[in-house]
Formats: sequence, structure tokens, C-alpha cells
Amino acid sequence: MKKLIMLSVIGILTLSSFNVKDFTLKKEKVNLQMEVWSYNCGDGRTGSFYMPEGSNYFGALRVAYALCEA
Amino acid sequence: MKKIFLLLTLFTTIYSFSQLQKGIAYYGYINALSNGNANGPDSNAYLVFNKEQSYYVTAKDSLEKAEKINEQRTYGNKDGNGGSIHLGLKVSPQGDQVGYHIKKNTMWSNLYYVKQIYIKEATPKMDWKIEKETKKIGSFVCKKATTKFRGRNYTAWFTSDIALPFGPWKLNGLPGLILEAYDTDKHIYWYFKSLEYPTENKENVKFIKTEKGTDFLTYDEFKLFQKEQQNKTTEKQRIVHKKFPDVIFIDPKLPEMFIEFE
Repeated sequence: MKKLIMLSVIGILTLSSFNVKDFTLKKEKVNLQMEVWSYNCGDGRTGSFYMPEGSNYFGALRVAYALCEA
Repeated sequence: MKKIFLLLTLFTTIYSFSQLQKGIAYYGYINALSNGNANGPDSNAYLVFNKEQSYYVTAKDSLEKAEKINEQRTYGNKDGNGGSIHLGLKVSPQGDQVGYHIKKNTMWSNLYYVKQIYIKEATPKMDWKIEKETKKIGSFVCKKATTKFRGRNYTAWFTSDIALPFGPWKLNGLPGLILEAYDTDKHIYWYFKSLEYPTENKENVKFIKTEKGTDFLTYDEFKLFQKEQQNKTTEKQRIVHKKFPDVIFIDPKLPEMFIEFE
């Protein structure tokens, strides 16, 4: 019985660690090859994002425009 | 009797002239808050002052060349891994302004963040530490001073030759005019360009007026506005993420969005 409870607790803890609440990931989880870009809309709005590996500047530019036009 | 009257007139004229004697300092202003280094768009700024008050403005369309306003620029990161994309220079017709009146102990300011935001507050007191270090800026010997203000550590270089407590933006309270100032890592940086003192320049100390239908916010209300904008940015990033699922968006942080955030 004791073992069962312990296993359940471990199981719950393991499962909760996989429970990603947000799409945003912490920096340490990001692949070092990813490029970090910030965008400035020209009206004060700013923000930043990581581009996936293998993407280029024009990809980042597309994302920046999408954010500023959203 | 005539002589007394003449002397009185002369005295009044000299007195009022000395009271109205004004100066103007021109700065360059680099705002690299979102860049993570000291590399960012460079705007023109100026500070008009007399003995009683000052008026500072930057991010004003008439101070910049049209091609610079519309120019899309990218500033590289230190390690060359990514950068900062600027879809045009941030400007508005009135600019980002700060008005300061010593006797009224009041600061009026506005900044453009999607719309014009106006703030009225008691002059923020800055606890400056004056250091021994000096350096020459233009023809002025300047002393170094440091302080912490609303989340950032600032270094300012001021000249006692102009013993007035003014400086760019909200920086104030030193025993001389601030000619250069920056925060740690120079994410915010005002550098000296030129100074006219006294001057006959047509620019005057202006009073900041709100637009029709808007009021001045208190600083606490402004902090609520900042939080609101932070949430809006997160929400927009969430929407755009659906279109770019491989992109990882970073939660917006107030120090990367605003000069003052505490």
C-alpha cells in the first residue's frame, strides 16, 4: 500500500513537470543555435522572439511585421 | 525724478532679462532597451532652460530627417546571433517631452506608446552621489555623479559652469547642467552635441498640454498602463504564434519596454 502511494506521488510529480502552461519557453530550454530577435514597431511597441534553427533575417522580418500589424 | 525713473526702468529691464536668460543644450539620444546592447536608434533631443524651468524633447518628427523616420533598420546583437529590427524611427508631432518647474516642484511629461500618454507628478527626487572623477565634454569640465532611478542605475556628467539642476529627460537635481548620461550597459544614452548659453534661440520653454479628451495620469496610473501594454503584447504574440508555430516568443519585460519601470 505504502509503495503504491509513493509510486502515485512520483507519478503525479512527473506528470505535472510535463504540464507546460504557456507556449513561451525559458531561455535555458532554447537551442543555442536559435537566433534571438527583437522588434520595434516605431510606435513604442517592442518585444522579442527566438527564430528556429536554419531561419534567416527575412524570416525574422516577416515575424516582426506580423507582430506590428497584429 | 526723471533720472530715478530711468534708473528704475533700466534696473527692471536688466532684472527681467537675467530672469528670462535661457540656454539650449542639444543631445543625441540612443534608446537600445530591447537590443540587449548599446546599439540602437539615435534620435535628436534638446533641452531648453532658464533659471526656473526646463523643457526637454526627443522623438519629435521635425527633429529628424524624413528618410530616417521611415527607414527600416536592424542592429546586430553583440555575438552576431540575431539582432533588433526597427520598423521605422519612433517619432510623433509633439515628441516625447518633459517639462520641469522648480518652484512648482512638478514634472509634466508625455511619451508616445501607441498613443500619447501624459503624466503629471511631483518632481522625482534623485539621490545623487557625486564622484571625484572628471572629464571634459566639449569645452566644459564635467563631474561624474551616479544614482538609481526607477529601476536603472544612471551615471551623469554635469558641469558646474551652468549651475542649474536640469538634465535630459527626468534627470534633475545636480548642482549643474547634465551634459551626458547613461544607464548601465548604455541601453539608454544621452550624449552631448552642443550648448548655447545664453541664447537668443527661438525655441522656448514650453508647457505640455494634453490632447483633447485626455488627462494627465499619475505615475501610479502610468504603471498600470505599462502593465496593460505588457499584457497586450503577450496576447498579440500569442495570436502571431499561431501563424509561426516554430517561433518561440519571449514574454515581454517592462525594462525592455520602458525607460522607467519601478
